[in-house]
Amino acid sequence: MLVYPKPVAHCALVCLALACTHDQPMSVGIYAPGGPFGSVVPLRLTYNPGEDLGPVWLPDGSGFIYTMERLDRDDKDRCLVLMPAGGGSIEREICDRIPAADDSVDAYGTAAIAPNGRLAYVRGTASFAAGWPVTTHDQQLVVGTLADPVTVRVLLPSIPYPSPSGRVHQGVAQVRSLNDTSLVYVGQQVSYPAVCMGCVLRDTLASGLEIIRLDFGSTTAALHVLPGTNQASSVAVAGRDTLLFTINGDTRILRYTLADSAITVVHVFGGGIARDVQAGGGRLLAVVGGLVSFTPDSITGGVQRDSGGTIVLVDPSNGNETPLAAGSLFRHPALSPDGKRIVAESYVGGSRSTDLWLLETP
Amino acid sequence: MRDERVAPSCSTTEVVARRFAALLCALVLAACSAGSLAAQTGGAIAGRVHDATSSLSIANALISVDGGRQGAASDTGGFYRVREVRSGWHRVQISRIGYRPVVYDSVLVRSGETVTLNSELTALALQVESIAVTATPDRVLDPMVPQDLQRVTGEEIRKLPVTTVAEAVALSAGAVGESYRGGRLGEQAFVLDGIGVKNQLDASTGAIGLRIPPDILTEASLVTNGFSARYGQAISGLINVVTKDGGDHWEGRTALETDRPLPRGWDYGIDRFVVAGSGPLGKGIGVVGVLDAEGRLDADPVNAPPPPDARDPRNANPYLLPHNSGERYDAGLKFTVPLGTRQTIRLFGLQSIDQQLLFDPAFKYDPAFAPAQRVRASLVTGQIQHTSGPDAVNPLTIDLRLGYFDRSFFRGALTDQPKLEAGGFTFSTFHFLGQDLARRMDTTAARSAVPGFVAPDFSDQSPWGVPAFFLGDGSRGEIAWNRFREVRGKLDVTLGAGRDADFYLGGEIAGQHVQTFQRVFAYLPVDSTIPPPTASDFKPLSAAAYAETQLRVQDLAFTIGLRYDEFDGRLPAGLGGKRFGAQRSINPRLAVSTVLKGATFVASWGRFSQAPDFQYLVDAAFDDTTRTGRFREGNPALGFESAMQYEFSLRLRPTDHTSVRTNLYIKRLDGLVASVPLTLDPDSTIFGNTDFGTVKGVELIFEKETTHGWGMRIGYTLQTATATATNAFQILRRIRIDSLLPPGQDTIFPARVEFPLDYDRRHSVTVIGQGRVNDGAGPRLFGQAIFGGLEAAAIFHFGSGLPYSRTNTAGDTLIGLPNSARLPPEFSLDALLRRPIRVMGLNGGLYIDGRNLLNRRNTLSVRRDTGQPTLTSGTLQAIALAAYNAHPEAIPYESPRYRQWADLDGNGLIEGQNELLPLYMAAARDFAQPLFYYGPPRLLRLGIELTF
Repeated sequence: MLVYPKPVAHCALVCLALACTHDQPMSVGIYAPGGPFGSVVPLRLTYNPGEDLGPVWLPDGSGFIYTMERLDRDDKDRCLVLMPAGGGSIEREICDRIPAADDSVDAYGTAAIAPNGRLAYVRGTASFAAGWPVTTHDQQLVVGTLADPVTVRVLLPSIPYPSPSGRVHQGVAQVRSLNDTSLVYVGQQVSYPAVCMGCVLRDTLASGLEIIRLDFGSTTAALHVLPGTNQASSVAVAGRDTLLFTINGDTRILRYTLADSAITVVHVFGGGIARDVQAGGGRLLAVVGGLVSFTPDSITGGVQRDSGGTIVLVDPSNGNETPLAAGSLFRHPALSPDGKRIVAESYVGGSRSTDLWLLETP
Repeated sequence: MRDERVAPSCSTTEVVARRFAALLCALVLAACSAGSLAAQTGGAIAGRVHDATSSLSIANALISVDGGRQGAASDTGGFYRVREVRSGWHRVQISRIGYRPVVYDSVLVRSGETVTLNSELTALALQVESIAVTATPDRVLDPMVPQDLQRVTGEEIRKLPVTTVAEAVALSAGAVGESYRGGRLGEQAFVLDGIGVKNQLDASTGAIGLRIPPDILTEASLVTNGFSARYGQAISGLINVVTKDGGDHWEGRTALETDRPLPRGWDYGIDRFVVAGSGPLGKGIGVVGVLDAEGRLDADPVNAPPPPDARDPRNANPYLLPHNSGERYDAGLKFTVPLGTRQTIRLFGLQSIDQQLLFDPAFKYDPAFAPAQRVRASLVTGQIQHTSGPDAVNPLTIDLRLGYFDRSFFRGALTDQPKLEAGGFTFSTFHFLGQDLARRMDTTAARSAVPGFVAPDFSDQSPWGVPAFFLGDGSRGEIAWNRFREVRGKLDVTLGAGRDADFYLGGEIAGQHVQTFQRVFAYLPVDSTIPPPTASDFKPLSAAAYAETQLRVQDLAFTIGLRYDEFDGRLPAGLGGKRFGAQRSINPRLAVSTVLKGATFVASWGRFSQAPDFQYLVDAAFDDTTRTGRFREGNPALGFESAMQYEFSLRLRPTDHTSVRTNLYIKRLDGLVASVPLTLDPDSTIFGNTDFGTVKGVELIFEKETTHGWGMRIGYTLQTATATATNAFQILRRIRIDSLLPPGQDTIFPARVEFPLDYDRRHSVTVIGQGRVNDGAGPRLFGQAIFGGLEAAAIFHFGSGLPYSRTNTAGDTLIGLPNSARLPPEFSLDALLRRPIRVMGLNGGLYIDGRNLLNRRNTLSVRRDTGQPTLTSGTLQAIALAAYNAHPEAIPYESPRYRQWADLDGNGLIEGQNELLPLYMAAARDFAQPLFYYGPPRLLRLGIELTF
C-alpha cells in the first residue's frame, strides 16, 4: 500500500472534482449572411422570386416585418417575416404551418405592431386549384402577439363585411396600431379585372373607401367610421390623438384629430397624387406621382390604380419637399421610428416580382 | 487455516460403472418424469463431524449459522446439511456437549453451491479462537451444482473494467449483449433476492429499467442451461442477483470517476459518483444504502470517422454527438431486521432513473426538436424468512416474498430543452409534449392535432441550407408512453429430508397493470393517412406453482422439477372484440449429474416458457421508416412462448487451480411472437405465436483461479441460431421457393424455413485476465514501491460478424435469403489499472479504466443496400438529385438558406442546377454519414475511491 503525502492526495482529489469543464459536442454555426447584399443606397434588401410586400417597422426600430411570398413552397403561402433593420437574413417566419392546408394558399399580411408587442394582421386563404388564386376567402383581421402570433383573437371574423357606413369592405389595408386597444385601417373595395380581353389572368385592384377605427378593449370589437375620410387611400398614426391620411386622386396630406374629428391640411404636393403617408422621427413622407391614376365612379366614388411613385420627404416645419431616389418607383414605404430609414416596395427590372429596398433619409 | 476441497473420489472402475448405470436410469426417468435445475439466492453448508482422536462420527452435533439463525444437527453418521443459507459471508459454530466447539467466522456461501465443512471436535469444553475458513467448495466438480452458472461478484465488478451488472453478465459465454444463446432480447428473467422481476410489458423492445448498483451486490450470475422450477418467465437465461445484507460493523465506499482531465478527443463527458455504506443500526438490524449516479455528455458515443467536408461542423469536432447526453441515477436501500431467533425480515427498495436526449441525424442542426426518453423503474421487496432450529428432524425454511415493481417509459419531444448543469447531469425531470394526454390515455382528444406539436419542416440551419434531409421547426410528432406495474407474492418452502434429499415447493401470483399510449404524427389530426392513437389499460394476472426435489446418491445428483405457469391478459371485452381465458403452460425440468474420474458430467433437459410481452396483446402504432407498415393488430389470444433445451456439460479440473467446462446444447424455440400479414397491406398485420427456431452450440470455458498474483478466464462459444423472425414487429417473411432455388423451379411458399437470427454470433471469445503486484515488489522511488499493490485487469473480446439481410437500392426487395450476409468481426480490449492509496487515514485507490483501448472501429451494422456503412457515390448522387428535383427553387439572398459561397455568379440568388446541386450533394453526404453503424470509441476514465 502506498502512502502518499497529504498535499499530493488532496491535489488528486481536487483535480478530479474540480477539473476543467468537459469538451462540448459540435455546435451549429451561423451560415447565412450577416448583413445586406451590397452597400449602395438605395439598397436592395430582398431577392425573393415571389412578392415581398407591406413592410412595417418594429416599434423599437430593430427590424421590420413584411409579407413574403413563398414560391419555394408547394402551397405558395405568404408569410410574415422579420428582417433586421440593416437587411441581411430573415430572422423569423410566421407562416401557416398546418399541413392539412397545403392544398391552398394561406396568406398573412397587412401587419401592425404595437409598442406592447401586440401584432395585428390579416389572414386569408385562396384556392389554387384552378391554377392561380383569384379571390381570397376566409379573410380575417386577427390580433395576437409577436411572441405568439398563432394564438389570436379574431377582430373581423369575415372579410368582406358591411361597414357601419353601409358600404361593404372587401379588403382591409394600412392597418395601424393606435393604442393598446385600438387599430385604424383603410377599408377597401377590391375587384379583379381581366388584364386583357378574354384573359383568364386577372389583376387585383384594391382602392380605399374610408378609414375605420376598431376598438377591441371590450369583448366585442367595435367599428367606427371616421367621418370625413371618404375615399381615403392611406393612413398613418402621428400621435395619440392624431392621424394623417390621404385621399384617392388627391395631392394632399390631411390631419385628422380624433378628439373632435377635425380635419386640416398638412401639406399639398405639387407633383401628383399623394398616397402611402408615413410619419416618424419628426419626419413626414408620402409616395407622390409616378404610375398612378384615379378614375371617378358614380357608385363607388372612384378607383385608384397605383404602380408606384416617388417617395417624397416633407419637412413639417417649412413644407420643403425632398424626393428620394428620384426615377425609381416605390410603393408602401415604411418609415423607421427614428425617421432615418425607409423600406419600400419596388419592382425590379421587367419582373412582376416586388422586392424591398432600403433608403435613408438625408 | 484449513484448505479443504471436496474432491469426490472415484478410484475404481466399479464405482464408475455403477454411476454410469445410475445415470442411465436417470435419463430413462427423465423421459417419463420431470426435472429442474437450481438457481437460488442461497447455498448450503454441509459436511461431517467426527472425533479428532478416534475419527468416529459425532451424532447430534449442533451446527449453528450466524448465531443460531439457521442450523442443523449431525446425524448418526456425523453428516449434516444446512440449507438455504444466503449468499455471502457467514459465521458457523459446531458444538457438542463434551467437546470443544469450533467456530468458523468467514464461511463464504455462494448461491447454488454447497460449502463443505468437515470438522473434527476435541473433547475439551473450552471456547477457542475463531478460525478463518478459506475452504471453498469445488464448484467445478461439485455434482450438486448442475447448472451452467457464470458468476460475478460485486467486488469483481469493482476490479474489472465494467461499470454495470449488465456489462459484467454480458462477459459470460453465450451472451451477445443482452441476448443469451442466440435468443431475442427479453427472453431472460431477472431474479433479485429470490423474486422475479421482469418488464412483462415490452421486454423484447425495452430495458427493464432497473440497474443494480454494484456496490449493493453480493453476486450476480447467469444461468443459461436451465434453472430452478422456482423461476419462470424466461426461455434464454436467468440473471440471478443477490444483494448484500447490512453487516455487524459500519463500512462504506465512495468513488468519483471522470474523464474531464483528459485532452480533447478523449473527454467524452463522463462523470460518475458512487457512495455506499452499510452497517448495524442496533438490535440486530442491518442497513445497506447506495447511490450511483452517472452523467454523460454523449451517452452513446460512436467511433465513426469524421466527415471529409470541412464545412461539416463534425469535421472539426467529431468526438461528441450533439443532443445525445444522458444521466442515470440508481439508488438502493435495504434493511435486514431479525424477528426473534428464527425469522428475518428483509426490506429492499431500488429506484433507477435513466433520462437521455436522443441524437437524430435529421435534427442534427435543430437538436431542440430531436426526441428524448425517460425510463423510471422502482422496486420494493419484502421478505420474511423462517428457519427451523438446528435440532429439527426435517429442517424447514419458509420464505415469503412480496414485491412491487413499477416501470414507466416515455419517449417523444420535450417541452423545453433541459439545461446541462454539470457534464451530462441536468438534475431535473424531463417534460414531454403530450405527457398529460398520454397518461390519461385520451385517444379521443388525441385524434386531433396535439397542442404543442408543430409539423417539422426542412431545416435552414445546416451549412448547406437547401430544403432537404435535415428537419427543423417541429419534432417528428411521436408520443410513446407506457407503464407497467406488478405486485408479486411468492412463497418458497424448502424441506430437508435427511442429508441426501431436499424438497422445494412453492408458488407465486402476480397482479399486473398495463397502460400504454402511442401516437405518431401528433402535429396532424387523424385521417386516412395518419394512424389513430392507440391506448390500452388492462390488468393481467399471472400465477405459477412448482415442485422440485434434489436427490443425492453419493456423487450422483438428480434434480427433478415441475413448474406450472398461467397468465390471463384479462383484456376488457371489446378491445380485442372477445374475451380470452387464461393461457397455461407446464414445464418439466430434469438434471442428472455425477462424477466421472476427475470430472463432473451433467445432463439436463427442460422446457421453459414465458408469457409474451403484453404489448403484443394490443394494437401498436409506430412510425416505421422501413415502410413495412405502421400498425400491428394486437392479439389477445397470444399464448406462451416456449423453448425446449437439451444440454450436456462436462467439468474438468486439470490441475488444482485450473478448470475446464464444456457445455453442449440444443434449444428449440417455439411459439415466439411474430407479425403475420393477413393481406397484402402491411397495416393488416397481426401478432401471432408463429415464430420457431433452433439454437445449437458449444461453450468452452477455461479458468485459472487467482494464484501467485494472477488469474485468467477464457470463454469460447460456437453457436448457430436460426428462426423465422428476430423480433415481433418483423413481418413473417414469405420466401418463395424460387428464391431458394433457381428461378422457375417452384412458386409455392415453403412452410418452415429458418434463417440466422440477428444475434446468431457463430464464434465468440472472451478472455479475462487479472493480476496483482505484491505490495513491496518492483522498483522503488523515494522509498515507495512504485508498482507495489498495483492491480490490473483486462478483458479481450472477439466476436465473429452478426448476420444481416441485403436488399436492393430501394430497400424493398431482399437480395439472397434473409440474414444471409455477415458483418465483419469485432473485437475490443478493455483494461483497468488500480493503485491503492491511503488518504486522510482512509484506504482507497486511484484507477484508470479504459474501454476499447485499441480504438478499434467495430462495425455494428451496415446499410442493407451496400453492405457497407456508407452509401455508394452513385446512390448519393441519386438521392441528391431527387432532393434537388423536389425543390429546384432559387434561394434568395435574404433567405436563411442562402450560402454566399454557393452563389457562383454573385447575383444574390442561388439558382439552377449548377449552383444548387452541389449543396444538395453536400447535404446528402452529410446526412448519410454513418454514425451509429460503429461501436464506441476508446473511452478512458480516471477514478478515485475511498473506503471507510
